[in-house]
Amino acid sequence: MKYEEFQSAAMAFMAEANDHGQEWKWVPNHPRPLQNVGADDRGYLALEEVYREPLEIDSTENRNELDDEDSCTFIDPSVIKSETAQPNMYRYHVVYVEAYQCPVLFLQGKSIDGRLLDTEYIWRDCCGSMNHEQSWLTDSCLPTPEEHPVTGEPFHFVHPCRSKDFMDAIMQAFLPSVQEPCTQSNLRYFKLWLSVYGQAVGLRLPLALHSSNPHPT
Amino acid sequence: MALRHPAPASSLDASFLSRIASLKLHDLRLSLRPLPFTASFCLPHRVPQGSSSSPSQPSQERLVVAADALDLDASAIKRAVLTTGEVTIFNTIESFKELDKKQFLHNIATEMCRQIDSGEVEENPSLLVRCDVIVFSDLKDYKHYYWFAFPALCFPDPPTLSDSILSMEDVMSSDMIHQLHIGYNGLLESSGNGIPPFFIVVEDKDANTVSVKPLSHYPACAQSGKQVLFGFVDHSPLQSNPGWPLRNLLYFLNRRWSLSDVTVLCYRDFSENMQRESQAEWHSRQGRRADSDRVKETLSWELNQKGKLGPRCADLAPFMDPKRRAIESADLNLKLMRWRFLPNLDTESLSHKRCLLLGAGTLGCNVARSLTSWGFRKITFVDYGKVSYSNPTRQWLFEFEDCLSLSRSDVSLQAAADRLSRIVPNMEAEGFELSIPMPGHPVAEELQGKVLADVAKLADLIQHADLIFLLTDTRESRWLPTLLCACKSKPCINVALGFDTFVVMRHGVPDPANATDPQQIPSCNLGCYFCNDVVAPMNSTRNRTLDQQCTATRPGLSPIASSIAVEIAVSLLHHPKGCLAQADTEEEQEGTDLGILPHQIRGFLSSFSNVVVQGRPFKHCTACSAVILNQYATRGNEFLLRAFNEPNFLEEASGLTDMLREGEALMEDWEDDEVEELEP
Repeated sequence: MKYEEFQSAAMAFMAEANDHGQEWKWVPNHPRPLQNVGADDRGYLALEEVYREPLEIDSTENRNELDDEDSCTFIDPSVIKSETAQPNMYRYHVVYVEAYQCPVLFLQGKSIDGRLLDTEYIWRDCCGSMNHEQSWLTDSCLPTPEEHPVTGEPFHFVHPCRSKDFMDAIMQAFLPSVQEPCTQSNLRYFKLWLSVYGQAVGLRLPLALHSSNPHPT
Repeated sequence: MALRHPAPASSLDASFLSRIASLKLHDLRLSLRPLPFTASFCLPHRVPQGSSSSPSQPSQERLVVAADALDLDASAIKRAVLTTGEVTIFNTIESFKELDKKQFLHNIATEMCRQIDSGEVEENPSLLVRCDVIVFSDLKDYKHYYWFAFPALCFPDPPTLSDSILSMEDVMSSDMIHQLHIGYNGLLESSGNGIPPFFIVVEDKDANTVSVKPLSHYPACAQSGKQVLFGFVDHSPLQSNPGWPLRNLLYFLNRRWSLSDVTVLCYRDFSENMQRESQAEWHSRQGRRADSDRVKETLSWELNQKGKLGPRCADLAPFMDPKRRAIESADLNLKLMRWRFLPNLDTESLSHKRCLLLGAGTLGCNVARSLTSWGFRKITFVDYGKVSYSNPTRQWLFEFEDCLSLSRSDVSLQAAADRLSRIVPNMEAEGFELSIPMPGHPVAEELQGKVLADVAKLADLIQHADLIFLLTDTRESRWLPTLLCACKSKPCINVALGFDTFVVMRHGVPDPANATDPQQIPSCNLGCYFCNDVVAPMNSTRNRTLDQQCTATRPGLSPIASSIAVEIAVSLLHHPKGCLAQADTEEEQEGTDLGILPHQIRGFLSSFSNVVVQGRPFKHCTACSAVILNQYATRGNEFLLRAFNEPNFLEEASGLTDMLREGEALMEDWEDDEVEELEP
C-alpha cells in the first residue's frame, strides 16, 4: 500500500467510523525540532481515550520505597475519597511506516494518573481475554514497545510481519462479486485489517462499520 | 452543611517526566530552582444518575500535565481551565522524602495570599487553582517519584453550604439561562488561551437580563447595586459536591472583598452530551473574615493510587531502558517463530535451562552463539589453560588482548562470559577454570587432592545443569563427563571434529525400562561416544605431531557441528520423553514439532553431506555401560583414580579385555577352519 492510498483509505474510514460514533481524528505530522524531524504534509489516524476497566492487580506488587510516609497531618478532612477504581486509557494510532510500506497499529496504555502500562500488563489486559480460537491472533499480534514514529512518545506496536499473507487470504475470502474501484478495495482492506489486528489489542470497531455498504451495487 | 469536595487527581504524561529528567541531567543539575509548567483541567465523564451503562469511564476530575507542559507559550489554544504550577526536582531521594511538606505548602499559600492582596488574582483567577509537584528522578533506573499538591487555602472554621441546592431552573427563567450560556461563550471567546475558572454573573431582575463578566469587574458591579453571583467552572463528578477550587474562591472573596455570604453558581460544562448544563446553585456562608495576616492552614497533597498520602512512582524503564528494550526484542524474535512454524515452541523454558559447556574453545564459542540466538540465557563455561594467539580468529568470544593474560580463568574465561552478557543484557554467564581429569593421565600423589576436588566440582556443575555440551579437544577428556552425565541421567550432547568430518551425538542415559535389579543402574537407551570403541581412552597427545595434537579442521566445520548440536538439544528439550526418547531415523520417526530427534549426525564436509546414524549402547563400553556405572556408584573416587592411573584398568573393568580375548580365540578358530578349508 502506498502512503497516498493509506491516507485516502484512512480518511474514508474515519468519516465512516465517526458516523458510527467512534471518534477518530486525522493528526498532521508536526515537526520535531529536537529530533531533527521536519514538517511534511503527512499525518496519521488517531483514536484517543478508549477506556478499559483495570485488571485486578495485587497491590503489594507495586510498592515503592517511599510508601508509608507518616503524614497524617496533611489529611484534608473535607476530601471525599473516590471509591471506584478508575479505568485505564488506551490510545490507538494508525501510522504509515515507510519501512514496512504499510499502515502499522500503535497503541499506548495509561492508567488514569498518566503512568504508562507496561508490556506485560497490556498483554494480559488486551490479549488475556481472547478465547482459544483467537489465540493464534494473540501470538501473532503481541504488542511490543516501540517509539511512536511521529511523536517519539513511548508506544507499543503490533508487528506487521504477518499481515500481508493473512490480509491477502482474507481479502480473497471477502472478494466482492463485482469489480470494485481501487479506492474502495483499499478502504475494505483498511477496515478488515484494523478489525482483525485491532481486536488483538483491545480495539473494537463499531459493528455497524462492517454491515454498512456505502456504495450499494 | 460543611463544604466537602472530591479528591483532586493528577494525570502526568510520561513524556513530561522524560523532559524534566533530561532537563535535570543537562541544565539544572544540582539546582533546585522550580520550573513553571501549565496544566489543564480535564472534564470527568459523569455517569448519568441511575444508570450503570458505561462503568469504564473515568469519574474523577483530573488535572492533566501534558508532554508540552513546560512550553508555557504553547501555541495550541486549549479550551479548558488552565493553571500554572511549579515542579521542583530534588537531587536525592532522601531530600525528596525529608522535605518539610507542611512548610512547602505554607510557603506557596503565603505567596497566594500575597497575590490575592495585590489584586493579581482578580486579573488572573487561575492563580487560585495552582498545582505544584515535587519530583525525584532516578535517572539511572528511569524511575520517577512524584507527588502533587493542590494548595488549598483554609479558614479557621470551614465554610458551610446552605442546605438546599438549587437548580438553575429554580432561580432563573429559561430565557435568562439562555443568556447565561451566551454570556459564558462570550467570555470564552474573549479569554484567549484557557478558560477562566472563576467569573461573575450579574443579574438584573428588573430588566430580566443576565450577563457574564470577568471576576475583576466585581467591585464595579457591586457598587451599582445589582445582584452578583460568583460563577465557578466546576469539574466535580459528584452531583452534590462542588470541586476543590471553590474553597479557594471562597477564601479569596472573604479575604479580598470581605464577603462572607455569597451565592455561587457552579457552572458544569460537560461536553459528553454536547450540552451545557448549569444546574446547581450554592449558597455559602462562613462565620468570620479570614485572617489577613497569616494563613491558618494549607492542605491537600494528592493521595497515591493506594489511597494513601504518598508519592506516586512512574517506572519508565520498560520504555526507555535500552537493555529492557533489547531483551524484549530478542524475545519477540523467538516468539515470531511460533506464529506459523512452531506454535508449541517453548521459548520461555529455554531461557531458564542451565547449559554447561565443557570446553570454551572453538566449539564452545560457537555453541554459545547458537544457544544465545535460541534464547538460552544461562550459560556456564568450563575450560583451563591459556588463550593462544591463534585462538581469537576461530573463538569469537575471545580477543587479542585475552591472549596476553596468563590463564583463561584469570581474565579470559570470565571475559568470554562477560562478552555474552554484553551481547544480551539478560544473559547469566559464568566461567570456571577446571582441568578435567582423564584416563591415561596418571595423577601424582601430591596432586590427588586437587584432582579429586576438580572431580567434585565437575560433578556438582553437572548435577546443577539441565543440558551438558561436551566440547573438549581430546577424546580422553570426554570420558569423565560422559560417565558423570550417564550416572546422573543428564542430557549430554557431544561434538567431535576431524579435519573435515564431525560427529554430533546425544548420549544415552540409563533407561529404567532396562532395569532388572532395583539396586543396580540399568543400561543406557542409546550409545555414547565411547560405545563404538574397543579400546579405553588413553593419553592421545603423547607422540603426536603438532597438526595431530591441535584440532586442525576446516574452519567452517565447527560452526556447522555446533549449530547442529544446539538444534539437537532444542529438539531434545521439546520431546516429551527428553533424553529417554528413542532415536528417530529418516525411516522411523516419532519426533517433535521440530522434526526428527536423531541419535547422531555424522557430517562430511568433503562431500557436503550429513548422515543420520543410530548407535546402540555397548555393554562393554568403558564410559556408560551398566557395569562401569555400577562400579563408579559403589567405589566412587577410588574407581576413578584407578581409571586415571592404570593403563588397562577400564578395559578390564568393562569386560573389554575378556571380550577381546574371546574374540581372538574365535578368530584363531576361524583361521584354523579357513586353513582347513583351503587346504583340504
